[in-house]
Amino acid sequence: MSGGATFVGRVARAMAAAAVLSAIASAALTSGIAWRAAVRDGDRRLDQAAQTLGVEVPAKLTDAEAAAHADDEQLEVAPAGLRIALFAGGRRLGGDASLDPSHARGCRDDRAWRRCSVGIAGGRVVEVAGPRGPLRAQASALAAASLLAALVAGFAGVALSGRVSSRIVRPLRRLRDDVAAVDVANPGASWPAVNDGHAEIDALRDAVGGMLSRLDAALAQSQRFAADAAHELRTPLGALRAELELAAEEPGTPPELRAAQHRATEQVRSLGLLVERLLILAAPDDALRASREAVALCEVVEESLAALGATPRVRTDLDEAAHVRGDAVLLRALVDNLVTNALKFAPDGEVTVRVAADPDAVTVRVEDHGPGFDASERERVFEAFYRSPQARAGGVRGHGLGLALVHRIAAAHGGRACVADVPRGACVVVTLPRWRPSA
Amino acid sequence: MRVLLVDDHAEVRALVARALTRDGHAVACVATLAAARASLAEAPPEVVVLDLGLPDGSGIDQCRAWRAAGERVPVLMLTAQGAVAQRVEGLEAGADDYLAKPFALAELRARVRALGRRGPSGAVTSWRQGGVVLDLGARAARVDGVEVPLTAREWALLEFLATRAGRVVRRAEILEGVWGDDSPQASASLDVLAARVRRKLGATVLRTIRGEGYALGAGP
Repeated sequence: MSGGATFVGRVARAMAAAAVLSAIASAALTSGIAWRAAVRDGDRRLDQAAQTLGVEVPAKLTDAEAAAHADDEQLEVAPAGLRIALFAGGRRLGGDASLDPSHARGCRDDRAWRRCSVGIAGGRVVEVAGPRGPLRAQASALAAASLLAALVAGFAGVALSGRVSSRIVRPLRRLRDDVAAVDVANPGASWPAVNDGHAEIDALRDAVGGMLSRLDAALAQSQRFAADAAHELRTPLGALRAELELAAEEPGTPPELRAAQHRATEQVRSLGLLVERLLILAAPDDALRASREAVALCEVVEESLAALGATPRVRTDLDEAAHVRGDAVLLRALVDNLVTNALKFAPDGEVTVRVAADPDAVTVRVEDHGPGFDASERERVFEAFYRSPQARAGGVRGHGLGLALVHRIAAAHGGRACVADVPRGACVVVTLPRWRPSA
Repeated sequence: MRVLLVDDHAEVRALVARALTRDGHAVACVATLAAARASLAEAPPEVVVLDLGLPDGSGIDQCRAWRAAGERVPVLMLTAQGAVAQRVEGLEAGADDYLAKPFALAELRARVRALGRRGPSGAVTSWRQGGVVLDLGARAARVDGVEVPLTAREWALLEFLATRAGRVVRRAEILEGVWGDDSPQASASLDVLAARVRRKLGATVLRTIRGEGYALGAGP
């Protein structure tokens, strides 16, 4: 995987942030609730104390009797830290001397105190107050506990987010592997028709599969078009070539006309070869597979060099024992393309053709001292219609079919073509299975 | 030499016929297999040049039918360059040689000349000397029971000599029968080819008679 942002990282970060935020929110909520519960609890205690006094002071008691009860109650609740006083019509009857009468009933905060004002029988009012300190301490302890719990959950979430998110993207990884395994030559057929079991991923898989089928159809159509066009051109080109060859034999042709005839013949010949190359590239694999004839690669190279008339620049090192089972016509096309390619791309210097045999395989190695291949294009040079930037810039003519054809023919013989590492120039090596006695 | 040319493209047929006529052959041109059968029966040719995709059938099937009926006229098939399976099938059906399109007329003329010199197809089906066995029909060569690879050109040379077994064949005759051309290049190729055959099958398989030519076998 390349550097930079990853989807797993993104999911992990999002999950960690969500864990931290939810921990904070849950801590805040819990401490709020705890605080309110503590306050309610305190108010109930205060109310209870007031009600107790109310029961002891029925309406029929005189103010003096009521005051005595209030003083007794004050003595009783003082050890619990509470203060209590009894009022009638805004006038203090008894109890704690520091408590003022309230204007309204109910509970409220009053500086360091929480106080409640409760009406009882006989129009009298009980004022009761308790310190807020213990209440606050209890609420903070509860809040701290819930915050701690939330933080633990948050950290656990952060710690697990990496693992969880890589689990989440596992179907995506499988999808990536399948996409990477798509065969360029046969995209639709190489797409596995499996379901992942996750609706979103399956939708994506279906979309990719659909795109590959459309690509298949487009590829097949373009191949058919190339084949049809080439097929239509084959016969007229053959006739044109024969016509020119016959005309060249006529005696008494002026030299300039003879030279023009020769050029035209060459052009028509290479057009005919181009057409045949296109047809070979468009042919299905099994149409090219052959294993009948024994072919000696040294013979193929000799015939090719004799026909190309390129011998002065080409040095050969040919092992006579290098035989393969195959098709002499295709192997001749393979060698022709390797040699013409080398001569074309390396306009001067020596071209070496080596044919070697080991117990299982034979190799044809063609090396030149031209500009060579860039490391980046080593795979692409065997693709049809690929032309290297140097070739284009250098004005080398061609269609980018030569090495594609070499690759195709090598594959049809159960072999392969590759670019070898050489200090200078280009080196293409074709490896083919060696001839064996038929079983 | 009489040549029967079977091709359904009128222009190609006319041009090939013109080239072969210039070489002094009498050329009969037909466009269908039915016409080819009629022409063959009426004026037996010495070589048939057969295009494979014809309007009334496959040239390969026709070739097989001829061989099954004992017809031994040498057959040269014309195939597309990529038509590997056709070449294999055609040779198995009894065709003697093939030429891949696009071809040079010179190449076609050489092949026709060579086939004409070789004579009827399948005259000799096997040859044996000591541990060397040549199965010319199946194109399998064995030395002491071990199969040895021989190329098409090597088979052509051995077959040409085998049909003239026991007699010394002149160089010029071999060049005409195997290469269809007695140029200095072909002549140099003959010596290289003979040396390779000797290395594969043993020195006694091929005899050189200085100033005369080659003969198959150790001789009398």
